[in-house]
Amino acid sequence: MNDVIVDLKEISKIYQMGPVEIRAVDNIGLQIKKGSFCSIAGASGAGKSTLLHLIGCLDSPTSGEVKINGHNLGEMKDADLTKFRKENVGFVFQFFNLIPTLTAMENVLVPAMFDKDQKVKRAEELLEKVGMGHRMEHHPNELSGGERQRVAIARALINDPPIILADEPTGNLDSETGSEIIELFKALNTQGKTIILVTHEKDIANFANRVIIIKDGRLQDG
Amino acid sequence: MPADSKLILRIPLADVAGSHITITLYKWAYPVIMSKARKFGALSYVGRNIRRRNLRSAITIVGISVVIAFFILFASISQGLKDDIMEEIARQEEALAEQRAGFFTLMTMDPFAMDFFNSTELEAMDDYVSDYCIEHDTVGEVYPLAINFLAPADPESDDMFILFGVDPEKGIKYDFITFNADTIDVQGEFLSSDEESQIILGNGVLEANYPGTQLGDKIDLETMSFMSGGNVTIENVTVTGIMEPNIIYDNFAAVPIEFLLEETGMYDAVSDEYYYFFISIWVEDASLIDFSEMRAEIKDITGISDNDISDNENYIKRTIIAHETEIESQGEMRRTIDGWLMAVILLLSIITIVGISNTMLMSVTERRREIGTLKAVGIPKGRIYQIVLGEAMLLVIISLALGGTVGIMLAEIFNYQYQAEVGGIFFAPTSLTPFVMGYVVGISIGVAFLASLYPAWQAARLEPTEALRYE
Ligand SMILES: Nc1ncnc2c1ncn2[C@@H]1O[C@H](COP(=O)(O)OP(=O)(O)OP(=O)(O)O)[C@@H](O)[C@H]1O
Ligand SMILES: [Mg+2]
Repeated sequence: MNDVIVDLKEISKIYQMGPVEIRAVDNIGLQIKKGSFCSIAGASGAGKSTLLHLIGCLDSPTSGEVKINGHNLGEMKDADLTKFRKENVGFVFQFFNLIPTLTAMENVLVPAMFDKDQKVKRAEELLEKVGMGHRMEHHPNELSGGERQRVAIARALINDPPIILADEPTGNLDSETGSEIIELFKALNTQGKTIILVTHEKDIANFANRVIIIKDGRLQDG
Repeated sequence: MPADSKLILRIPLADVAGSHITITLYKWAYPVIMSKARKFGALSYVGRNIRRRNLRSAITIVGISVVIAFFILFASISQGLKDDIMEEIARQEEALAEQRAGFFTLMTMDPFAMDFFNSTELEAMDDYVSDYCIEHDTVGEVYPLAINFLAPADPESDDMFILFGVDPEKGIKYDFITFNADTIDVQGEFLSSDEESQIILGNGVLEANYPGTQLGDKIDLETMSFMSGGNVTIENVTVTGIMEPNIIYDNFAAVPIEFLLEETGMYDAVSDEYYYFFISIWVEDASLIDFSEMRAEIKDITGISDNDISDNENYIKRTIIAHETEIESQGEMRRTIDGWLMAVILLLSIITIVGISNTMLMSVTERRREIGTLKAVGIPKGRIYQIVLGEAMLLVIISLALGGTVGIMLAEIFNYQYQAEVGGIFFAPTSLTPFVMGYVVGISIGVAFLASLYPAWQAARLEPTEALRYE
């Protein structure tokens, strides 16, 4: 029990579009073990992003219970959720979402922007680790797509969260660069991070030790 | 400040009409500034956001700077005008206080009527006046004055030298004349109550009758009195003071009143009566007393006839009303200026609000993804507020520095032109008091803060998911 890091009980996310009810996530129960590498797959519009956002507590479910790292998110206030997110979840986005005015180094420091202790040393180490040690002072527009995603991964790691969530992190990269990024995630996974990534590329899904397939907001297999 | 603080940079920004504005940078400040600049934090992020949109930021800053420059100029002009008005009101109030003073004069107009005051009457009158005035919240005093004359040394001359007998303590107060130790410039000393045989001489009297006389010399006085049967010579009177040349007092001399009365026979010790006496009754604020009441009582006490009392009641009333009207209209002008200032502040505030909120709304709208990302990586709501408000504050602080410098220069130019009376369009008194600077800075920052609250709220309530959905 103790090694379950993500515990979803009967969660649904329903969007009301006028008279139409869209069940983006429909009654999903799911447990993910600590230290596992999970991939979420499914067709476009199946509800993968929505599910990931619920796990990452970017969004709250219409019904059901989300437990992350032993904490019941339903009982948390907005401010506590933000703090919880900062400490427990690192995000990697499809479009990198780097801040164009900041250097690679500064982008990595963004989540710690308001912290008292500057994490410059750690940011340097992380950038070295993702292979970006030689590009620390570069701005995002001076970096390739793969390099940007490496910076984004370093940013996700700055506060040392146990869970890394990635929504199609290779969606905007060619397949070779994409597999390099996946290698990075695998490396992180061997260092103990729980990795959950959304993708519909079959071969990437094969890296994972668990593949969750979603169809119309429901789990396809256990 | 460390001991080795060494000046490394001084930029004189403005040097107008004797007012210097300089920016000074000390050596010790440099590492402090640089360490802040090198450290990455919210402030560098906010600064970077302004620089990213440098054209738009520049336009906003120029716009707000112009508003602030005008604000400073207008505020300083209205303060300058108000200072002038306040000065004028103070002048009027001072004049009013002086004009409120009233006086009676009691004088036996007919020297042969032989109806004079005795010392009992004088004391009774003194008591009555001071009590009556205290009852009416003001101050009244009785000033006795004996008047005699000095014969000119040159018998051909038709000079007329007046010899006052005054109370050395009080002097005289009568209409515009205030003759006492405080108001009269003398070389030497004013009359003192301990010494009887002393005189202070007007400059004209000295030159005509006693040329070459020095302080401390003893002189003989040839007095001419209508009452005591002709001329009396008073010998060996010490010159204690010589009045500085003065158009009013040049032909006057003064001795202690008791001394004059006794030496010239103007006082009859047998009947205790004073001859040829002039009394002035001075009241600090005549608007508080009832002249006719006082007049009746004085007649009762002294028994003198109505003709022998004069008072200036009507004159006082007229001048008081004139000053009060003037003060009223100056006050009206002041309120008008305040009204205009309020209107201008309102207008400039609206311009600032529109400018800042527009810029900040654009900045927030085009950064939805970025703000969403910040929220996704764990930056809390309150910090998002700080980022947006901080950006607006930075804009307004830069504008304050720029517009403030321009505004101060403009205000100085206006004032310089005004003081030099050169005329032209730059023509108004300006006054840049700390109060004016304070409220310009306060209102500018306050307005910018209010204007960016809505955009900040917009940013803070962005859902991270909503922001991440768009590309
Ligand atoms: N804010 C929203 N309002 C209304 N409907 C929404 C909203 N967000 C998602 N949906 C709907 O929910 C369903 C699931 O969307 P989701 O983004 O999770 O799909 P996805 O599996 O990530 O698809 P893709 O592979 O294309 O990214 C879709 O039908 C989508 O239209
Ligand atoms: Mg998706």
